[in-house]
Amino acid sequence: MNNSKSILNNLLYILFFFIIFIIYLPIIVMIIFSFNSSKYQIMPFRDFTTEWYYRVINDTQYLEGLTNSLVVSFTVSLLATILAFFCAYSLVNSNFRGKSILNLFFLTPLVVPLILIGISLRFYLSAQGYEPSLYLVTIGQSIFVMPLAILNLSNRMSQIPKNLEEAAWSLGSSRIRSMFEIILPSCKFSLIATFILTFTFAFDEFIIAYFLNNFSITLPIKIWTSLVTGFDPAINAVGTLVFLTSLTLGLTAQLLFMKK
Amino acid sequence: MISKSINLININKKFNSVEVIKSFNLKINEGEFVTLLGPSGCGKTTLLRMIAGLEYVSSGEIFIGDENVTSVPPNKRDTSIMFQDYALFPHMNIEQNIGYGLKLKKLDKNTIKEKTSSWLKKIGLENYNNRMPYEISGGQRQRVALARSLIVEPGVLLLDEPLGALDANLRKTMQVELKKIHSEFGITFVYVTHDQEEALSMSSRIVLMNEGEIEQLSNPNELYDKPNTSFAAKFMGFSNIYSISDIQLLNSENIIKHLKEENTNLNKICFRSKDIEINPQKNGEFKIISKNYYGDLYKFQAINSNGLIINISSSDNKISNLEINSEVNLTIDNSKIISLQK
Amino acid sequence: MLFFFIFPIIHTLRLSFIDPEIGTFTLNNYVSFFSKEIFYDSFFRTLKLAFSVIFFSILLSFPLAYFICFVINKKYRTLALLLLVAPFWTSFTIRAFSWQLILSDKGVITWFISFFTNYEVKLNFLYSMKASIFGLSLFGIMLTTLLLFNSMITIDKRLIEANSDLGGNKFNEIKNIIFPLSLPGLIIGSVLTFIISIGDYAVPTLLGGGFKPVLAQLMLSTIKGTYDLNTAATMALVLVFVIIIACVPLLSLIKQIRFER
Repeated sequence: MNNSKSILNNLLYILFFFIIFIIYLPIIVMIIFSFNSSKYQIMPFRDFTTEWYYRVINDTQYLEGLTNSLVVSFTVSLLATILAFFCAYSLVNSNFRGKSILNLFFLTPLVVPLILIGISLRFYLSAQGYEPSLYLVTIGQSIFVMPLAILNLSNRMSQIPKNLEEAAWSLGSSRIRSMFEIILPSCKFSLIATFILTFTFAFDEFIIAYFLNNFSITLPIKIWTSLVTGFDPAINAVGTLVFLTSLTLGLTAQLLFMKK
Repeated sequence: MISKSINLININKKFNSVEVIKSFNLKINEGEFVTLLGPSGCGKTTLLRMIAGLEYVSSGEIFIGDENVTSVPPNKRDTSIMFQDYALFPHMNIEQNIGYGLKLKKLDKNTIKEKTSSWLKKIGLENYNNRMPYEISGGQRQRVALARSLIVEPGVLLLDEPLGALDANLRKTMQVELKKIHSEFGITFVYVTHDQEEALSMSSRIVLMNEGEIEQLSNPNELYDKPNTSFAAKFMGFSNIYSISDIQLLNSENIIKHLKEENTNLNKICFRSKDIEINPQKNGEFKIISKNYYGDLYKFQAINSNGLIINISSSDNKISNLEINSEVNLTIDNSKIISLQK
Repeated sequence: MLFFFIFPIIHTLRLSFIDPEIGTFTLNNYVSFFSKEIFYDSFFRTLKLAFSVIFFSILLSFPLAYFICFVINKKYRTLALLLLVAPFWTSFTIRAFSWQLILSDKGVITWFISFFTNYEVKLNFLYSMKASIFGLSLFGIMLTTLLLFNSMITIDKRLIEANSDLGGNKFNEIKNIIFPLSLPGLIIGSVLTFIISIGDYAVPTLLGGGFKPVLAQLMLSTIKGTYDLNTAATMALVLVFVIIIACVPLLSLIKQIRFER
């Protein structure tokens, strides 16, 4: 019995590290290739070079994409975090008939493929006479990250004891005031974490951005077009940079969530 | 501080379709210390929350002072509530917590500072102003919560089991302290608890509640000595409560026959286990079936041939040698028997 | 939300019922969708892809979640989860591209094989359905493991002790306690995996190649190529319909997804 148990456990250890190996493999390869001087993305590895990184930094298209991505993602995450705060507040605090339906409604974008959000918005908004642009990308991506933000924040808010607010009311605070003075500070870390998380998601998002703008490129679009139109070894360098940034941001968000 | 009266008129409260408060009427005078007492689920906390405005009434009216506050939001009511877990704001320090109510009243900074420091002094935490709530002990938190509630000079202070989270010793101290604060400020206290001892020692009147209704409303002595119902009797620690049919089970020649003769027109009776006298006697009507030692007293259970069980407690040394299966007769002073309405 | 999410979907729904030439109501778009072989094929290809991904995700996530929850030292639990999730913070696109480097016929794997064995091998893996399944499964595994773990961690450890006290073995433990109690996580994980798989565009394009397109690819090429919005909308709505069906298992869980204090 004990023996078979330890065999099982060992198998599980092997499985775990095998999966970890598999999911890190592309990232490791990408990082290695980003220093490979060969123009073709095939083995063997030639010489060590940082040329691709220089290329990326000096390429105006990458820079434009980066700037656009930063601006859009920042707006998206700011917008989504603020709106999600109010949505989550009303979700957590109200108790009316149909609340669970509203709850579900807020979460539906989570189960709709991005490509559908992108296409539908594109169809709808161009029928209304709006031209595809970065503004539309901002709207589309906000819809995509809202459920995540609402989930995170309502999770946190449901942990705040209700009587904190009640105590404030009984001391003379209005509902709006207590929302800002009692609930908001208690959600501080979650708000920052949500902001970072939505930022990372929006920053990496490709398909909505692809549908909803015409000429301005974002970083993921630039990466995509370089991929589809042919090799550009600089992609590895971009990928490495994006990965490291995402990793840092993601870890920060995670730590903040744990801190509450 | 201006103390205010509370008048609850025909209050009903439903959660979904469950009626938790049923046509409740109660008038609390200004300056009174009224305790809502009852087992959990009797509606006492709901009632308190309705007075505070944290819960809507399904029907009925609430007056605080002369004002009808039935649809007034909590922040516009002249009440202040204190919770069992104190609900101190975790992101504010002690001073900010206490001063929060004044800040809401838009007093100027200096006045707030002055008043909070005088309160910090009053509760013995002068040097704690910069501490955060999680850095102080339970008893200290309790005092901070009290100060935070009282600094806004409410007409009514509502307390929801405020001592529930403290250990037994601290509870006793805080009971005395709360009582002192009550007489010092003279404002109306409405106090919710499930602990009858706490209720008896502090209140001027006790509202005993059962399933959303008033079971008995009286002062502490009366409730303790003369409960009206079997529910009240049980809650006040009477362990012998009998209906008329139970009394028929007594064999007539023995002591408790008094009961039989004098109370036939009544529904139920009760008496305290300590009021029974035990007389060991061969072939007595009762037989001891259990014996427990509690330091300063013994508790017995005795049964007769009809299966009627009576609880007895005594600190008398002469009965300490009674054993299980000892045969006894029981007597009781008739004046110790209390008749109950239901 | 209403304006930017529900209305567009409804608009798309309407488009799919409109005849592209005369602009009147018609079901022809749907009829032609299911009669044209290319659409029909890609529809079933998409379903096959999604179901395969779910299959592999469940197969591997269950032991993984079990491992993280019950086998490894508590101290390393968070670390293990982070380790599992971190790679997915970077974009799908870049990871898929990197897999190209690894899996292609002149990629890292073939190079290693020929380096050590002197054989030239062809993997014939990239640009096939298999590669798409592989790429999406990795994501599915991460997601399902995470959600399964969330369910498993709430299982009362005493239940497991009671099982072994009563003489149950590991198999009984998993079958009678862990599996039924982690079912909610499994369902949510599978449904989300399914939805992501049927709607994804990047992985099928970069790993699966363009010759046997899935619906998402077809939809995109229809829009970009012929600008036939109505056909694209029809495809979109077919996807929505499939998703709605896929969400049915979720309905049983709705009561649990509530935020209350």
